[in-house]
Amino acid sequence: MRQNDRLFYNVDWISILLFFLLAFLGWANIYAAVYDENHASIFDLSQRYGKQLLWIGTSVLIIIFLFILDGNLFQTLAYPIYILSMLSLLGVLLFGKEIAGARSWFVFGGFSLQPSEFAKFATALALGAFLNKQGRDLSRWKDKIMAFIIIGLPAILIIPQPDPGSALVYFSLILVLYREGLSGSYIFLGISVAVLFILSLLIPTLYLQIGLALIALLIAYLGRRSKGFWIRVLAILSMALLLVNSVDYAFNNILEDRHRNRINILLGKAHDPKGIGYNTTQSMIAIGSGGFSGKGYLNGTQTKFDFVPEQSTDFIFCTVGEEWGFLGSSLLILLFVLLFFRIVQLAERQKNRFARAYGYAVVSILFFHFTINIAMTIGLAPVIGIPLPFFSYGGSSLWGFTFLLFILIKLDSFRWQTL
Amino acid sequence: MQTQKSILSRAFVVYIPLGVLAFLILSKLFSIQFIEGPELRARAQEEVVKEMSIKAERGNIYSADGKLLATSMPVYDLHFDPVTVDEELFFNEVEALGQSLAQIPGKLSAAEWKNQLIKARNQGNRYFSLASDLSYNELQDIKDYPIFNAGRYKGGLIIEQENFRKMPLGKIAERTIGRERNSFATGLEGAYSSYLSGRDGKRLKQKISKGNWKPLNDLNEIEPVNGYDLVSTIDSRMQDITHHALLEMLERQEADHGCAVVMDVKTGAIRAIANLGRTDKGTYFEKRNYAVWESTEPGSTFKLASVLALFEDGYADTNTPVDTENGIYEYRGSKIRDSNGKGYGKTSLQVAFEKSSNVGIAKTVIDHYEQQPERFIDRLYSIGLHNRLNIDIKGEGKPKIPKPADPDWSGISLPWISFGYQVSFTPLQILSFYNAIANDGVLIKPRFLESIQEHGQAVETIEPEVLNPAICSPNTLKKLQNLLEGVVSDGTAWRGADAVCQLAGKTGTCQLNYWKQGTKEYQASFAGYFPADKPQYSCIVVINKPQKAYYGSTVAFPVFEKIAESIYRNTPQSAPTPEKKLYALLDDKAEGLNWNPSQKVMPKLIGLNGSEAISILENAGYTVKAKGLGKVVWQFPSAETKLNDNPLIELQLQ
Repeated sequence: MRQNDRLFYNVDWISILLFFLLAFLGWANIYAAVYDENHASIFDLSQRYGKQLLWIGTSVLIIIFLFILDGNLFQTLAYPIYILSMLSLLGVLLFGKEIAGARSWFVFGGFSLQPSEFAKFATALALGAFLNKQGRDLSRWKDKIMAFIIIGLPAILIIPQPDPGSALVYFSLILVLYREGLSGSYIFLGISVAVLFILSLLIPTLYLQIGLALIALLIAYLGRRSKGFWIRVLAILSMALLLVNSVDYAFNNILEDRHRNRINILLGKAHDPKGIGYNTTQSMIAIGSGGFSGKGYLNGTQTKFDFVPEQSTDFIFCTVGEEWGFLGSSLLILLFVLLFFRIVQLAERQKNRFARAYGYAVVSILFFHFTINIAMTIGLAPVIGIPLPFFSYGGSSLWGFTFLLFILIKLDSFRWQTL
Repeated sequence: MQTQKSILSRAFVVYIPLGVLAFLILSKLFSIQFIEGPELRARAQEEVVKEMSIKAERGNIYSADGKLLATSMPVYDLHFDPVTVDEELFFNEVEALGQSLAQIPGKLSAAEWKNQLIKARNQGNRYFSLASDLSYNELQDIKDYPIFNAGRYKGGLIIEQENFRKMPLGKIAERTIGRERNSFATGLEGAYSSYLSGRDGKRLKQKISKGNWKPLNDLNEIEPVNGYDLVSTIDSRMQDITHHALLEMLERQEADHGCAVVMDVKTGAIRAIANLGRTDKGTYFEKRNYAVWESTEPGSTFKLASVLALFEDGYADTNTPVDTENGIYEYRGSKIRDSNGKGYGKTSLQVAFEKSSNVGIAKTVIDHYEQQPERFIDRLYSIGLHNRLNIDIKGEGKPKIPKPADPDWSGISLPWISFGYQVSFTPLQILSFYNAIANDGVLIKPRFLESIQEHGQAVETIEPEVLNPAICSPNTLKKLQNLLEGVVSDGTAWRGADAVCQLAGKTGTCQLNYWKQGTKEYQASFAGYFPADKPQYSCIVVINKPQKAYYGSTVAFPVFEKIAESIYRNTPQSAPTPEKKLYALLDDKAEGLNWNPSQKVMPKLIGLNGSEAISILENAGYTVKAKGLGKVVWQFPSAETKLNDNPLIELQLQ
């Protein structure tokens, strides 16, 4: 029990180092993005970079707080934290303040909190606790459905804010379920649905239907000549057709024009560099103008003069691209990938299912954020507005990610004692 | 063992998408920075370095006597971004700012300002309009107001500079000087915009911080070419006289609107043009360019054209007897009346004209043209009045003279046209006709522009344009001139008989909307010229809907008389206002003078170097009396005059 008295006993210093590297690089790049000669001090608390430093400082307090706690507490409190978090998501829909068209924030005086950022680690904890129970078997329908409910509930509560980007994040947790024994066919199903979804937007519905029917015929012809197999092929075909038609219907009748435009631009069906695609175009210009080694710190013209909207938050990556070039961006990506591998490693070395599942949840969430965020700044994904973990400006998101990562580090440091 | 392997492969499967996505991102990044890179860099450059236009200065408009009529000056429009201002600063100081803003005349009170500002902040209005068209000094004051004095970024004050067209002499001739904005262009500003506006230059600028651009030195820079200046024909003194003479009568008569135009007989230069319309409050301002635009039935001033036709066809002479009966003459069921209600009995055509007897003129015209109305109309057409004058200023009303073949020609059209109904002209068109009588039968196009200048030197000088070299025979012309003089000495305008100079012209009283029952609205006019013996200026006065009196003789003629007397008194008679005074710096070369002394015709010497002109004449054997030094500004005899053996030649030099 003596070891427990030492706060940093057995912690994974590699993850901690990577965390602080990313946080401080983020801070420096926020300074570059917001830079203005009138407020040159990087510690100016009236500016975003000053505030970000404050968030980093408070994150350190959160870390110390998490390390002080007893490691068993997280598993014990997993469900209460989850329930509290879901209540806060419900509460923000009712009592939240509407900022820029979304009811995502609680505002207390000059201070605001975004509960959806904290729901991520809460869901990860609940999922871990759920899977940890003896006899859980994800091939059983009962457990499967319960797991999907745990993942789906926060997403359903976040969508109406509206914040579809944050809601999508939760679907990355299917990866955790896969790791814990969910059949690979669900991942295959998910990918098939995504491909069909995109195809039905790209190709006229009629052609797609004919194509699907032909494929089904081919499979039926080549496959087993049994009645049961044919029925299954027919069932899958009709599901696919239903999906295609409902996507088409939803796209044309349920989505609003602005959504349709965004999707069309992303799919290359429409081109509009000044309008909806403006953010992405400007972001790509900024990144592309950086070249191999970049323009140098604080020398990015696109960065400094506000050409890219939301540059200190969702589009922070293009500041890196412009000022540090390909070299800097690759290095940043490398740092993130290192962190992800390290987390998967941590997860795999856990002794109990709770901590392992939690670790996978952490990497899934971080990875989803990282991929979608960077993909949207370089024009690979639609602009759905989710931050780059540890890097983007924002107190709630930094705190949320700090909780997410450091609970894992705490669990990891504690792993021998749970046996 | 089996499960162990399965779990490991599952972990591996998780690594794969991680790797694939990271690879995808890296390759797209590579593509952006190296393959699409050059193009994107060019676009970044484009955004940071911009070609900005440098506004060319718009030219000024001068009066013929060298006064500035219109010029450009910078003015400032102010907007306010209350959102950018710090919350504490805003609410602490908004009251004080409201009080300061209340000093801007004609806007809101301090409390209203405060409410508006707070409302704008709450609504997130980042472009709240504060004031417009401020001078530089006013701007400097406002910059010191509370909140605004917090500086450029924190104070939220948005300053935009615009060029404002100012008329330093006030609003005189405003409609004729005109205005030019994006979609509409009126007056001289509009007509000569291509000369005035110049050509904008271009300069590369680089963005150096938010909202600030620094000029880049670049060889490709294009200098702006400033616009040319215009010298209008308007003489500020005559304009002033005309404006006030008209205004005084409009106010006295509480008339709806009126116009008065003074034209130089020989050159067609419009020396003064006043257009005044009444506001609801009973004041007058340059509302529309009535003289150019408003085409109405002229009334009795048109009798001059009827008499011209009669004389030209040889059907009548000044002493042709006319029976004006009792002032009422029924023709095809329509009654023609004289305005005095009793007629002038048996008299001559001259008296009928001078007294403006509708019956007299109509009966004479009917007598001769009833069987051949086309002939009468053809005569009117031969004057050239059926065409627009095609003056530079936009919006000229179209003249109308119906033909017997037209559907609206009726049995009574002929007599009604003879005294100025059923035809339609603008005041300027009637004035041109009267000017032609004064100008020995030469119909000249009225013009508003003297010359186009750059740096005080003429780039282009506008020459008079003859529309019809002879509107009638010299014989007719003489008679018409006598008639017009008679109107003032013995006729309807007898009150002007003892004016400082002899006046000539014709009154017109025209009932407006006479086809409506019970309307008693009139248009009083007078068109003529002065001095009658040696016409220098022609002038028309038209007053619409006067309330106290309505005769041309009592409403319009006094204005004409006043204008004529004031101008006559203030114009030096021995040496008329030099035509080319403004470009006196330029010495016309005598080489241009193509003069053969053996033809014994006086050459045009005005504008030549005085000593050269004298030597040319003296070499030809003439004696010359010259006054002054410099260029010839006045000569006697005038150009093209036949010279006898020993003529008196006088030159005035300046």
